[in-house]
Amino acid sequence: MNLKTSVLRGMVLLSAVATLGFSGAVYAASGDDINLAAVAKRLPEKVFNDVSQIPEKPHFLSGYERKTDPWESLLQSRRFYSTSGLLSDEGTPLVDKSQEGYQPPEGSTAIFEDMLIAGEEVRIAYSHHHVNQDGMFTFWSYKEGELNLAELSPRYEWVRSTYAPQLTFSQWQDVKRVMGWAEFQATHMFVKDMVREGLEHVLYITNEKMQLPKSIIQRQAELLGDLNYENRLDEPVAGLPGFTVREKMLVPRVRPKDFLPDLFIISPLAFSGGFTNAWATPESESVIALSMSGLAAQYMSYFSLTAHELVHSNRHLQGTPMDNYFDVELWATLTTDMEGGVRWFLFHPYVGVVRDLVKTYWGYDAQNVAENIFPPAFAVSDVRKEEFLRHHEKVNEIKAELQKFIRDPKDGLMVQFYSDPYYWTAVNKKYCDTAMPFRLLMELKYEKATIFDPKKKDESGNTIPAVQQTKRWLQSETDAGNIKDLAEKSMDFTGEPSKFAEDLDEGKMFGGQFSKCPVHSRFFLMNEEERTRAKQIVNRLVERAKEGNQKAALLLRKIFRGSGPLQALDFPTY
Amino acid sequence: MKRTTMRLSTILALAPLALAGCVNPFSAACKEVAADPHGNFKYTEDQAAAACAEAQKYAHPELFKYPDEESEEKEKQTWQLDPQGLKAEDAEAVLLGIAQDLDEALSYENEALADAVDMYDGFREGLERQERLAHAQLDDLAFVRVWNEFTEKVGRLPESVRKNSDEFSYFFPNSNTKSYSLRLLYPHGEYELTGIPFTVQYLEQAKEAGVLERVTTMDYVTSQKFGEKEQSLRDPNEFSWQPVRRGWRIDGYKIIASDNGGPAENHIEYVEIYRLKDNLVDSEGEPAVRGFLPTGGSNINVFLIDYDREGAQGYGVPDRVWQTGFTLDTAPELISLGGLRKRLLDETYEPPTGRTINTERPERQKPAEEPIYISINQVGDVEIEMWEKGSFSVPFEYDSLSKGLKIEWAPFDPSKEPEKLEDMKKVDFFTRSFRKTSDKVVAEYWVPKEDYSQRDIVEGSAYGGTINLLRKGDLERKGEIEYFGKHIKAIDYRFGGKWFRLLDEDSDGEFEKKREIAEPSSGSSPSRSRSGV
Repeated sequence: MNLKTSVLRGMVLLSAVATLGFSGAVYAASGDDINLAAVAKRLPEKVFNDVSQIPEKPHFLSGYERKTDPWESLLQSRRFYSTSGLLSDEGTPLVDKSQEGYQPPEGSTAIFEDMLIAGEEVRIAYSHHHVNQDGMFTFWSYKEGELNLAELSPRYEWVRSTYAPQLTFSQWQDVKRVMGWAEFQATHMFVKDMVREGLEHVLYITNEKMQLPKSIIQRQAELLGDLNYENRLDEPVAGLPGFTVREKMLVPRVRPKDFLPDLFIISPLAFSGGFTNAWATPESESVIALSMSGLAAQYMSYFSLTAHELVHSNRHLQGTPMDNYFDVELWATLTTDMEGGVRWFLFHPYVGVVRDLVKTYWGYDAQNVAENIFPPAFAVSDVRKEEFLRHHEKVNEIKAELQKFIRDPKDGLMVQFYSDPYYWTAVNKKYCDTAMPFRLLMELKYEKATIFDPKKKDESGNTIPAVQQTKRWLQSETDAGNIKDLAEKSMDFTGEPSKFAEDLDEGKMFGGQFSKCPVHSRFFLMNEEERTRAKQIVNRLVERAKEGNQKAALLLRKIFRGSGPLQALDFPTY
Repeated sequence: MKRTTMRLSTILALAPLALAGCVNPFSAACKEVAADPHGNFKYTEDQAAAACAEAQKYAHPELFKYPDEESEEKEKQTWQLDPQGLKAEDAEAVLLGIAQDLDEALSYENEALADAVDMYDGFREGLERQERLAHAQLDDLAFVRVWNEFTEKVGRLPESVRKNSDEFSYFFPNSNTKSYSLRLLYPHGEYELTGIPFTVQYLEQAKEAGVLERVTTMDYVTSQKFGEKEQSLRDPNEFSWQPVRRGWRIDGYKIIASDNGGPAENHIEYVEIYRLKDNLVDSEGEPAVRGFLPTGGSNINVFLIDYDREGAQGYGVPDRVWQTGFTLDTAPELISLGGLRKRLLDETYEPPTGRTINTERPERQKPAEEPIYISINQVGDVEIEMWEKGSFSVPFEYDSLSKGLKIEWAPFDPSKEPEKLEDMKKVDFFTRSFRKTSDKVVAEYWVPKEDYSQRDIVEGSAYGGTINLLRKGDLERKGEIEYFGKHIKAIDYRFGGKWFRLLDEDSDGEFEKKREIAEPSSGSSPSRSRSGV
């Protein structure tokens, strides 16, 4: 990951009152911003200067560091997540879209700010932070209720015991106003740093590593046999008013503004990740929601959360309607996440197909490795440090090869896919699998090495390598006609209702008639526990839809493309 | 990534994955078949992984170039993607799916879906733009499919045309006309895909020899007042009708060899059908249908159909090839043969559903927004005017129909009339009805003249064409309705299956009010109905 940005903020001593107070950057729609200049006059100078110090990091990262050491990073992440039960339920900010842009409704105390990044202005909404004349507040959990941000400061107790006895009640309230303000400064600077870091990473991968869009234009020019292709990209298309050659040929754009959404929503979601609105075209609005816990994970372990969401947000790379025909999560993962750590590689659900192919072609069995590092244990979670570090190196080796395979500007996976998406989505449809470019290009580039018996020796007594054992076995099966036979028999079942669908509800609602190819093959790489969970999810989704939850109903409709269980369940309107 | 409790956000993120598990991708189907302990293969898990990876190539061998079995260097050769391996129709299927997805998203048929699309600023406009793009791409690939179907039915493109067509050479560089390639979608600038001609050897030769002659030309026009039903998307009982007028120009051609004194028969050998423009006089510039002789045939039965109207995207490019078991020998047969008329005339205005997506259908039009209002009124506070005002008459001649007369008696009202008159009768109205077969179609309500409007009638009857009235102290009078009646106050008539009432409120002989009524009976004469005279 390209980490040029310094994430940590030094302590800023605000000596000049004139610099205090909110500018237009952070504001409440009501205009009830905290008047820090007035507060400074009401407090003793020493007290004000002390409590107005902006913390090095936001309160929820107190005690956590950005770790490069994989083992320390692992331990720290486990510690952080063990506290995440404090986090609030989901929430979205209230906006008044009858006004231009994302304006909070008149009288709202929610916090919105504008951020200038790479020459583009984006808006950030903090759904669970509020400001009013009494100070700055946040709502993190029902248990705690709304809290004054000052009280979340690690220094709060020290400040209270030191200064409160010598201040009036009114002055003490001023202290809380200032400390809350300082806490929020740390929070929003941290958020913006994470956003910057994500953008830098995705730009580095797409522009520098993959050399998009130049690499695609070159490849397309070869396919088209037109040396003048690049110069024609901005020409209008005859018979298709309003379109240029670039748009008709689906040449993706990877400028900062192509990745940045119109709005970031920052929430203390329990879900440690992010969301990007799935329906988007280059002309439509784009919104990314990022959870604070996800950003914390990005900070602590270089988790590429923001960059991943920015790939989704780029409508040239993953816009509607093409997004129905390839696995956008896998594609975002392959684009920006390939720097992830061992735990990410071994467990993240989006990496399922990667693990499957890595095992097939390079022999590396992630499932066995995971069990060796994290053996099943009773009452405690068992972990083997030496195994972990050993596989950290192996995973790095795998990732390095994958990065070349995916990002090579000449014939890497992404360049091949985006040079002719219609070709590849048609291939996806034929195999009923949204990951076929990845699967087929791996097949054409690498020898398989999944069959290995260490007892098999050559004439010299050396163990026959897995790749040779596999090739020899495959050749004999091919010569016997078995591979061709297997392919034909398998095609008979391709696109047909799966056992999972039949198990789900005897195939009534979720069978083949409602699902269309291609589908995500990573589902079939989940273990039994994960599948059970998936089944629960589907059932719960249907229940929510039946209760009238529009989001759930629309999701079902989108997945089933208009002819699915909603009709089967006889929903009145959706 | 860690999840503590299952919240909707989590569900929304994971559900697509879960539901993706409902049908088998090849990789999953293959592993199941390969490792089935009761199946043919009984591979171990590791063997299945290797075998299924290898089997991908055999599942769709057309996508690959594979080692030449005869080559001495077979071992060194590797499988490659065949640039011509994918059929254009496979890419077209994806684009058709995309276009259908977009059509569904842009339709207002499903209110919740329409609301969801409109939830995102600019998304509907963006989807409409994506739809135009998808249709343009689809048109390109459909062109290739239709062109291939056409040449299969009428014969290869003449070699002379093929060799001289730069378009053909560019878009089909290896003469493989069925493969997908990026070139098919490329707006080259110099070469246009649609520049590849739809033509046939016999026509080219006839044109070259100057023996192709137009022998028939005819216009055919239809007009329907209730042609198109506009149905409300939200209320199945709400609809309206729009008139539909359509027209076609049909030009039939025949190859006529010179100096033979005319053909032995008059069968046409090529036909062009043009849609007429809205004025039903001028025709569109490009034919909507062209009919050809099939390979080796002597009667027209292969048709190229373009469903797009002039000005629409795709106009001028055939959308479909249709070969029928019937033949078209003369232009009038297009009208007399129902099967041909439906496919070759009607459907040029109303394309069949299926591959063609009609973006002009009513479901794609935004329904009028329902007004949101509040209206609180006490019963009786609201007055309404149900009458249409103007100058009206019965819209058909009825005087010659069979007539019937009837006297409507006014009931006695003891609160207004002297008790001694209770035995006397009073005429309320004279009614003259007109019947068509046995059904009443018109009823005139006549106000009695002053002399016959008092409660002094001893006896009265109406029979045949006359009315008999005996007033107290008078002779019995007998005459036609005009003798007793002063003027017509109201007329009820049936038209288009509905009943209407005309009213002359100011007795000036003009009917200035009109409204629809229920079928009139004795209980609903103008004087007794609530909205009465």
